Amino acid sequence: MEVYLPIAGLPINFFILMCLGLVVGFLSGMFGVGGGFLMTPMLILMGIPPAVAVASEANHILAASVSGFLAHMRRANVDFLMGFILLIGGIFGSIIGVFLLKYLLSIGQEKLFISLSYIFILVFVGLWMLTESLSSIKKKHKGKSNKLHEHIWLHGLPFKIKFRKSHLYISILPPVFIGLLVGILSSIMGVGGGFILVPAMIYILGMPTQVVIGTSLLQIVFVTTVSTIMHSYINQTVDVVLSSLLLIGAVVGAQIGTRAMALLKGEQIRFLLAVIIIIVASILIYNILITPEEAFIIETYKEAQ
Amino acid sequence: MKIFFYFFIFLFLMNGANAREPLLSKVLNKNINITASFDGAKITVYGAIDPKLYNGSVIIITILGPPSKLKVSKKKKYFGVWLVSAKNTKLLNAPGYYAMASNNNNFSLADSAFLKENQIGWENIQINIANGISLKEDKEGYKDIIKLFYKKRNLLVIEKSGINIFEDTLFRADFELPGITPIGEYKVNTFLINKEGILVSSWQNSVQVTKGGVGAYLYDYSKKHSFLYGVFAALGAILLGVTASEIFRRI
Repeated sequence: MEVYLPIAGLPINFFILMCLGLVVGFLSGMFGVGGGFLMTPMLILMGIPPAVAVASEANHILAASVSGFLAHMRRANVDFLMGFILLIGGIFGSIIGVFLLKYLLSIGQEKLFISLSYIFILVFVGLWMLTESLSSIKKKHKGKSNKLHEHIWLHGLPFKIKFRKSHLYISILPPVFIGLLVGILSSIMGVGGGFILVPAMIYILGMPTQVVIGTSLLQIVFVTTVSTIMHSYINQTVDVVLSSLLLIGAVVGAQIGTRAMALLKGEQIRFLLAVIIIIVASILIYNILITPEEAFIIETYKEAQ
Repeated sequence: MKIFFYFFIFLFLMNGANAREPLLSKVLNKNINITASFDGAKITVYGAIDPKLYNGSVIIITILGPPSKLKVSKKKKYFGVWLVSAKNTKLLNAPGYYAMASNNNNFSLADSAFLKENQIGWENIQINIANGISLKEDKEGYKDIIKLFYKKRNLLVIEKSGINIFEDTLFRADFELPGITPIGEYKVNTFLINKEGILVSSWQNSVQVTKGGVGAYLYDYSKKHSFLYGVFAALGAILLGVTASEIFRRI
């Protein structure tokens, strides 16, 4: 059954969108990532114009993460104070990101930059999480007890605050900086930023995995609200038919994911997320290494030139 | 359905006979509405020619989609990695869809100036370059690039024997429009060329492809009230997320 997407301007199979939404929603609920890093490349592969894919995806992630966030909030898995501090950085970061993207557009290198930053970050984050989670699974098997979290020099910076929910007493500077970085990346790459935020919160801030996911979703809800409105306002590229269809699958998937998460241990969740990130990165690398089927890209453009 | 169609043609022919036109041509649907379940459409062109002229003459039908602004970028290998080149060429007036059909393979008898003037055949399409040529391909090279691209997406249909003729006088041709076909006015031209390669008569019809239903409303709203559209999109998404969460809480 085909459905016509009014903004994207093409018909697409209803069931494919449903399944895609379900799979990505499951990941979102389970790992606290919006799933944009997975969904956006998939939508582009299906022939949806990249600008529409990125913007509609922001809208879709918003709904999926609201659903996931509420589920985590009821399980008291959200550190609101930490979320608020990350958000301060995040807002400044997205403003910087918008200007950076504007600069890249003016020199015509945005596509190159986006592809390479996707691959670089996915490979880096994926491998890091994979080695870390494997080593902590091994440690557990050896019977050694883990410390609550590793203390690193960053935690000792000034402006220390007590984060009760995360059992941390650390400087607010690292979370502000992480929020800033994620804000920049999410406005350039068109993702919520969870796949960067989750590992950063676990490994740099030392937050417990269970709390990280709910807190990351809180941040994603705010970031994607802003980007949905900005993308609509500036580019008119949000296809609500597309995002709603993805949603039907996604909200169901997110709930299943949240329940599945409760059955797994922190390092197992991290290991699985690492594997998924590496698979996506490999697909992206494969796509830029093989000789493309078509040597040219033809798209319609708007400006009267 | 078919009976009605031929009956309709018959009436039409009667009219035409009175007018003593050597060629009459019409399209079946003047308006194609793209609704939520749109998955491509068909333009049917039908008509009649004077049977005395049938022997050896050629009917050609062309359909030119709405003029589109196209940006062509080449994929290039940088350090072993395939990326899209930052340089691109912008083209104006490229038809967003092109179709051609004839009843006879051999329409080369019409003179080339005529074919060019009427944009008969992809090689005679007129495309203007908006910015300087930044890639090595010349204007004709771009036509080949677009041709390949369109063919793959069914936006280019060339059927040299795509016109069916009945009783030496009635003709009909069907053209498929793919789901991604652009909205706008499609110009349908029908030409009748005699044995000597001279144009006897021609007709122009048009088909409007428009967005309809909820899709059209959303599309218009996103263009006219883009900020509010964004706010509603965000609110809708939040509401859907909350609803889903509430539903699952109770299950």
